[in-house]
Amino acid sequence: MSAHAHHVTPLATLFATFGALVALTVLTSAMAYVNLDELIGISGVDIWVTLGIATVKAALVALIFMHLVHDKAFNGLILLFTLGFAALFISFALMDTGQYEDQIDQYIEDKQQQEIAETPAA
Amino acid sequence: MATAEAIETGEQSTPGGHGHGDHDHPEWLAHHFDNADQQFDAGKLGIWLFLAQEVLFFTGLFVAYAVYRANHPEVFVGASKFLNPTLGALNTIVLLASSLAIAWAVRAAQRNEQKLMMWLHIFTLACAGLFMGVKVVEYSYKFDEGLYWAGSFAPTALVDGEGLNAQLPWVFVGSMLVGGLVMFGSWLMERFQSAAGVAIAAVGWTVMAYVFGSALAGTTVSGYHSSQVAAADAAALDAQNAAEAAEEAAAAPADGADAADAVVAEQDAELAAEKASKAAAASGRAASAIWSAGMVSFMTGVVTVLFTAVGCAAMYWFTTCFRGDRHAWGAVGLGLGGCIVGMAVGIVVARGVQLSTAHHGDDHAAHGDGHAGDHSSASHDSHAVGTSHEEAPHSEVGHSEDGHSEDEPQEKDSPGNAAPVAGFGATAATDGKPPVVEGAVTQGNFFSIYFAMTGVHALHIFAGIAVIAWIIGRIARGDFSPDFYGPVEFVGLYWHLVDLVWIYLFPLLYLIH
Repeated sequence: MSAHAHHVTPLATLFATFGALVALTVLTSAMAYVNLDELIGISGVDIWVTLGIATVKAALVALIFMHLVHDKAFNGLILLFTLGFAALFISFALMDTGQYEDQIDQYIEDKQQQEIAETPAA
Repeated sequence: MATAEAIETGEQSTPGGHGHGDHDHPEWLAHHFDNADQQFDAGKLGIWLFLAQEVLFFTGLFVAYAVYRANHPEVFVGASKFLNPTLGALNTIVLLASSLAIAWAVRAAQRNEQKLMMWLHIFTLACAGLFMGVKVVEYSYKFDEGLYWAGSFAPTALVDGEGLNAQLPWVFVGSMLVGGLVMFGSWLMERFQSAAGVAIAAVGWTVMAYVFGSALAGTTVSGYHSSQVAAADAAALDAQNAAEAAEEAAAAPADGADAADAVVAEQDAELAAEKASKAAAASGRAASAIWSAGMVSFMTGVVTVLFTAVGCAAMYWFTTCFRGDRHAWGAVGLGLGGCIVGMAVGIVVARGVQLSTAHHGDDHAAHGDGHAGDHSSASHDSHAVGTSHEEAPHSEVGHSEDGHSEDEPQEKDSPGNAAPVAGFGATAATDGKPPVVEGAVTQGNFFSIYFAMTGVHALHIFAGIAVIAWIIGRIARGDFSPDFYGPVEFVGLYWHLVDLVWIYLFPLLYLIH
């Protein structure tokens, strides 16, 4: 009936993907017990490795379970554009936060000083 | 099968109005499509656009997360210790297994393996139930430990045999009973097309409504009760502070005047202050307790009636949807009953994990970290001396436990009760007053974000359960074939997205260090 046959994912591929996903979950859980930042000596490595593992898992789900690898490219493109805009959203928000961080710190410090000044000395 | 398409497309189909019989296209092909492929591709494009919207929607929550974490990394490290990574990992694997089942079910649809497709969907519902069961356990422990969202955040020690977590065994028994009743009723319905089946399933729904109603009422009311108690205590503190100010004023002129008089006046003022504060606290607590008891029964009743009504309405809707097809009915009941039984299993497993790891091990260590350890060293020092704000965020914990309740072991070594820190620990006026530091709100904010993200995700699980149940009914009715399985795949794609979101939530919330 269908003009073109839809791709049928082999069972072995599905189970291999599931195995990989579980293995990556175990890996990322195990990483919680290791201080990667200290181990490698660069601060902030840990969060990027963690996010990297999550992204590999997400890619496996999207490409194989969600069939994007054999789907029309346009559907994948929608997802990519969405992720692009999501990244813009997050990075602009973080840039803004970083921009004003000094001022916020200053504000908090001022508030603390003020509080101390207002506290009657014992 | 015009109704089936009408559900899918939102089109109103009037029986006989279209004259379906005249067409030579299959009954599942909607009028406005030329052929099966066009219909399938249009549906898929639609679901992908919906998923794109979902991603952007969740991104809003991730932005909140990213901004707060960037501003207060230390709070996130501290607060995430209150979450149990084993439970997070368990739920991740449960969701991955359900994703595998759904992907496999699409394959089964393509290969016309009807029975397999059905059982894989029922398995998925059981996984969804298991996930929710684990969530129920996690949330009840959070509430018992006072780990609420910002504003209500007031950590307390877990008391054995008290609180929501003590009710979990009953929720387990209840869900097993309800799941069993729903499954049995559905089976009667399917096997004998018996009205008794509907009645039994309805009893199941009512029991479930009661269980959820009382749990919900208990949770919200006890949360409100504790906030009322906190408010009463705060009022008491205010009264005390006011009285102390008066006391000081009385003591001030004592320099010149009679010293003995001044001492008496001071003692009087002190007594008055104490009395006022105790009275304020006691009356506030008593009023709140009476109010809570009444409110719990009232809310339980209301929620029970509401849930029963919704349950029966849903059942009615399902019966009309699959009218005359008892197989469809039985299958839907089997799936939903399996989901509830899955929840019961999740509750038992998660409570076991919680008892074996968090309760007696890590979590108490985390408590030590979060409360006594940090705030005894940091809170008063940073408050009085005004050290840099890196130390300050922990001080809020000390404040939010303003109850100084006697039943909390770790409170014993808090500075409020312990020997005053040299020089400034003795001033009662500073004790309990909210220190103006950024940390006063941030730890609660972590839990605001935690509840918002996991809660919205849980709502998506509920929506998934509903649509998968619908698909199960259609599978049983024999709607799908290798030529027409669009709805199976589209619902599957939605379910995968729910899994995708959790893949990010798990490490970002549970595994921070």
